[in-house]
Amino acid sequence: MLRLIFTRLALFVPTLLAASIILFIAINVVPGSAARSALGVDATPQAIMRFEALNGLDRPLIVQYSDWFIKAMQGDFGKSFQNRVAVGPEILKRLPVTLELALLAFLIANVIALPLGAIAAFRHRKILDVIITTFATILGAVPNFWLATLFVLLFALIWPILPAGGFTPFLSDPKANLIQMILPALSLGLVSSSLLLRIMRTTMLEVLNSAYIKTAHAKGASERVVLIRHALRNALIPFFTVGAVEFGFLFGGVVVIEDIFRLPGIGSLVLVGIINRDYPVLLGSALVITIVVLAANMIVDTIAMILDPRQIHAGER
Amino acid sequence: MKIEANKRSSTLEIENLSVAFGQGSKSAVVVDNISLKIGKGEIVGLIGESGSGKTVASLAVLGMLPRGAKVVQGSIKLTNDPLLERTDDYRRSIRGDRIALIPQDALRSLNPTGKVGYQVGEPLNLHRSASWAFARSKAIELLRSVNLSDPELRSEEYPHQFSGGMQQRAMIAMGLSTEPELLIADEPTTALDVTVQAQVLDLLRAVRDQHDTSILFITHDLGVVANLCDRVYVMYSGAIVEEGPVDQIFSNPSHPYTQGLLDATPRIHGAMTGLTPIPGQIPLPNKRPVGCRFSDRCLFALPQCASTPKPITVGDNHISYCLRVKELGGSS
Repeated sequence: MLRLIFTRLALFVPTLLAASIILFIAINVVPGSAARSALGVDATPQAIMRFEALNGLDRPLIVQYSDWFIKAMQGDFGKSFQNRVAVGPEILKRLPVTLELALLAFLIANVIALPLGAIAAFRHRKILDVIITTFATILGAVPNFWLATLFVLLFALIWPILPAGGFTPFLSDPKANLIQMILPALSLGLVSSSLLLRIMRTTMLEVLNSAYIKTAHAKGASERVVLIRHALRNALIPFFTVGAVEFGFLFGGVVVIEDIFRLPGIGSLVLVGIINRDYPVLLGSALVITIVVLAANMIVDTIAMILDPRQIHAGER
Repeated sequence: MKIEANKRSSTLEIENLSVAFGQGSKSAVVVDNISLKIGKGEIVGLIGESGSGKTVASLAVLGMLPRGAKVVQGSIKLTNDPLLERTDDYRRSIRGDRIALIPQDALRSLNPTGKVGYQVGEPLNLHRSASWAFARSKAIELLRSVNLSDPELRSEEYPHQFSGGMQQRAMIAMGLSTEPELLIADEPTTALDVTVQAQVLDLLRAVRDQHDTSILFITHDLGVVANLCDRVYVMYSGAIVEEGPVDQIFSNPSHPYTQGLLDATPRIHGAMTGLTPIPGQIPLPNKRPVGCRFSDRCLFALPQCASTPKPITVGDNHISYCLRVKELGGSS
């Protein structure tokens, strides 16, 4: 068990390395120039050359990358091209906002998906199943930014019961913080719940049709005991594994949602970084998001492993 | 209706049971008017090929018919308790308590995420309100009684750590936990090696000898039946075609279908003449021939076979539903 966790930890570093290389290449392949963005369209070729020399952009990519990566691993993410602010501390300041949003959204997605998916499977092909599946399909087809705009329109403008944006740190005023988080977390979480719900339904269906569930019935277990004692744990194993992937996807949504609700998180930093071709900002934020997603994956995989004795023993042999 | 001797105490008494899938004109009668009795401490075989309705009949006894199937006539009595007149809750309460099922595929029938000891002791928790600690200690005892070595250790393991034979023995231990009146074993040895198979059969026999448990043994394996059972019912396409004591069924098979089954079974002794398969296939429930449903595959069929088969006594408790049984005769 512990060995399996250590194996995962050991894989963390190469995964991060690979992810950072892809990030770096992606950013440099995309057309656009950091110097032009920083200096404006009227900048002279000399000014651009000076800017590039100053920021090390005239060096070969491989050198730029290794320089950046080595410093980043030491916690130095460089300075923003735009305002010369150190990127590291800025990310650190914004990280809690993004983490809170992502975790709340993920929580909402799971709280919706778990019971509804299980119920849909339990009432397979009955009316309740059809209603739930339709609900999931519609949610899956809706983009989260569209849902977010709709929520702002409905709950902040037409029926103003919730704020349309802004952020108060949780520690200074938990209530105000949570109220501000409702709409962003909901628009992210609802959309994420769609996939999770369908996964839960499918795995639960598979479990309910299995021979060991028949055994449980043959033992005289009630429906409730069958569902909770025998079916749920088995259905949760694939559910968690997919959940980890979905958590990663959720961060894609964070970028847009933070902008819509004016949340000062890493997502909005990524957006600014892209618009301004502010490489240090963009690379730093993306790297931190990668670390968070990798860590989440590891935690979820470990939970799935604890739930599934077959995986634990597979590792021992 | 047979006489006093059998009426004394049958553990299971099925009378004129029919089970159908679907409704109205589209319904398919999968089990058609079968009657079957198992006395106390008796091991009764129910033989038939896939699709003959033997498993559905056993599910009707358990009250676990799949969605869409229902009993359309007949009665099922468990030691004089008319099960079909009882509520679903009542039937659930005797399932795993007075009737236990030993399924075919032990590995897939054990919960992969539950410790074996926990699963073996669970019926005690469900039906006797036993604490988990008690159920666990009882499970260790049960695992020891089915000849599992190191039961203390084994009870803490998961099903995938067991071999096929150990898994099946754990299933039997689970079935025995509440000392049921009736064990339904649905092809429990099909997935096992021959040597392991023999161990499991010995175990079932020992269970019967020690606890006087009645066993309904469902199989398509005639060798196993000869080895284990006291009496046999041969089922074909939803109906029983022959019944009798096991030695008589084997020495004097009195229905062309039973004879066909025996001819299609490999034997160690006897000439190497190759096996004779039964021509054709088992008919679908709504495509059965009129009268004797084996008639379309039968080498001895006559026009009269289109009339409803009647029971014909061939010997002591030995009944055939073939109207030509007298003229065809047995081999002995």
